[in-house]
Amino acid sequence: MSTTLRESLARGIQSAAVPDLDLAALIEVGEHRLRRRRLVGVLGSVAAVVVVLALALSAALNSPVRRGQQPVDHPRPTPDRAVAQPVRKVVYNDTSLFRHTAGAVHYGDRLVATSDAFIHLDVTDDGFVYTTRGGRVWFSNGGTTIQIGTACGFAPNRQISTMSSRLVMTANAGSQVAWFDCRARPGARPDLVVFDTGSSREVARREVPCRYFCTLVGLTVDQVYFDGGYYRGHPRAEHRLDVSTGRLVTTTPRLRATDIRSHPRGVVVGDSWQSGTATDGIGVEFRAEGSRLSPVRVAYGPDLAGGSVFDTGTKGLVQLRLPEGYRSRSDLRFTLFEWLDDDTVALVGGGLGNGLQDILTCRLSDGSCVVAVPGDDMHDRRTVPNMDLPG
Amino acid sequence: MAIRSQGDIADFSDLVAARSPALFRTAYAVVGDHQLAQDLLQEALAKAYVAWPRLRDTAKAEAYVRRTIVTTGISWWRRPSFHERPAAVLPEAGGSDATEQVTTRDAVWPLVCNLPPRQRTALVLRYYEDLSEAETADLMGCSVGTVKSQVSAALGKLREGVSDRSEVLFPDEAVTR
Repeated sequence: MSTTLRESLARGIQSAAVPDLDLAALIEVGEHRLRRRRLVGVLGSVAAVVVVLALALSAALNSPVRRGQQPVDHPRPTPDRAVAQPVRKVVYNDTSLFRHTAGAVHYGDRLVATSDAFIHLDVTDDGFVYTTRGGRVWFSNGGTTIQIGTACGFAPNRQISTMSSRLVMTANAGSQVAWFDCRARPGARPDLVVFDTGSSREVARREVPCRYFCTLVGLTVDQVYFDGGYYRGHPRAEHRLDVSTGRLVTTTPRLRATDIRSHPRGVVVGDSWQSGTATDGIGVEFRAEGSRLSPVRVAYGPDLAGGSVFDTGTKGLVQLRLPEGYRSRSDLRFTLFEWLDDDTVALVGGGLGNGLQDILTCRLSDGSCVVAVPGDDMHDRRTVPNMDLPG
Repeated sequence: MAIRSQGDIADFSDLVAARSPALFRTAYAVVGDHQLAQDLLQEALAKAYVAWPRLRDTAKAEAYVRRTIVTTGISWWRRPSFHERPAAVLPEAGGSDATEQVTTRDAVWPLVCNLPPRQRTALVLRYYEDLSEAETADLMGCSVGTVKSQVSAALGKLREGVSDRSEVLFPDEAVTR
């Protein structure tokens, strides 16, 4: 008798006894899997939240790099505008640089005697810094004066002289002062040293790649700009030391300008905020036009007659005015030499042979100026900080 | 405390009571081993319990379990451990005459159990469950062409295994549904 394949399959399959399933155990297995699935879901959600938070935190910490809108070399702007800044005192000297005798520095309402004839004068938030012949760098808080280092100058003897320039420098804000030190490797490349006058300690020291000898170009917050040791007729930012990280990188004047624009205590001089020349403000020269002070020149820059000044802290237009009743002259000029705070600058009037050495303090926000220190025709030159050596 | 509601548990219990014999036979047909078939059915039912709210009615639940049996059975076959089972005693060599075994009408099933799992599954679903090629393909998660080739290969092996005295009538391979 023949059979179909289906019948043969059915006989084979149905020959297996059907087992009795433990329904309760089956349901328990199902419930266990449901509970495990829920637990996995909860843990997964928690893990996802942790990952999202971690990514958000990482993005926040690295945001300047992630945005990619600024050059790699660009130092991270510091929101120092929101932090209360100490008010610097007006610093000046009425002793001729060429007398080669000990002098005295006016520090606010104090007069501080210097140990030797100084050839350089700068200011920090904590006091003033000066350099004497032989390269000795001194700091005074108005009461105590200490030597904080020894700077060196150009080859062949690397001695700082009265003709040396831009070898010791401070920033417009903060406590840092920078200089070059040749003592570690005589005859070799110098070290760039950064000293903090607030904590009275050296905060950075790096050997710098200078062919003959570098000169300082400028300091901003935690950044020291200097050139490569080639004479170009004017300071040109080619290297930058990041004091906070110790990194030494190459840079450009444009990047330095971007850095200046990101901090208070700088100005943009030109037709507009966008197209103007960014500068730390030191050396910007104003000419009296009636009661107004109009910018005419930026240190090492072109003539800017007819241009405007914008504050990097507010991006606002700055329109300085001479004090009420000030005896103005058509050839009267003032040069910005010190930032007292984010909104106040000090300007010194005249020049050699001019006879007018008045120091004005001016508020950028409203343009008002007052005579802080009247000039004295008995002195042939009033020395103020932050200017190129000598003085 | 159970996560599923009492109503869901009652419906699931009804499915197990009513359809587990048929589902077990499908599992047995797929894996060809009684113990494995029992494990396979329990696994498929446990998956159905977890997915129960999506299954809604009994017909869908049974189809879901059947599909789970087929796909899970095939996946088990792919595991290396499925082919290597520990044995306390090695099997004796030799045995009865295979030709003698396939002379009877009941001797087809051992040949079916020796088929590769996909061929066996396709054969069982087509000629035991009486599904169409399209339904078989859907259940196995493959194309109709694959079903055809698997069934053809399975029938060829069965024909080779049976003797001329076989009483089994094989289907005409040219006739398809």
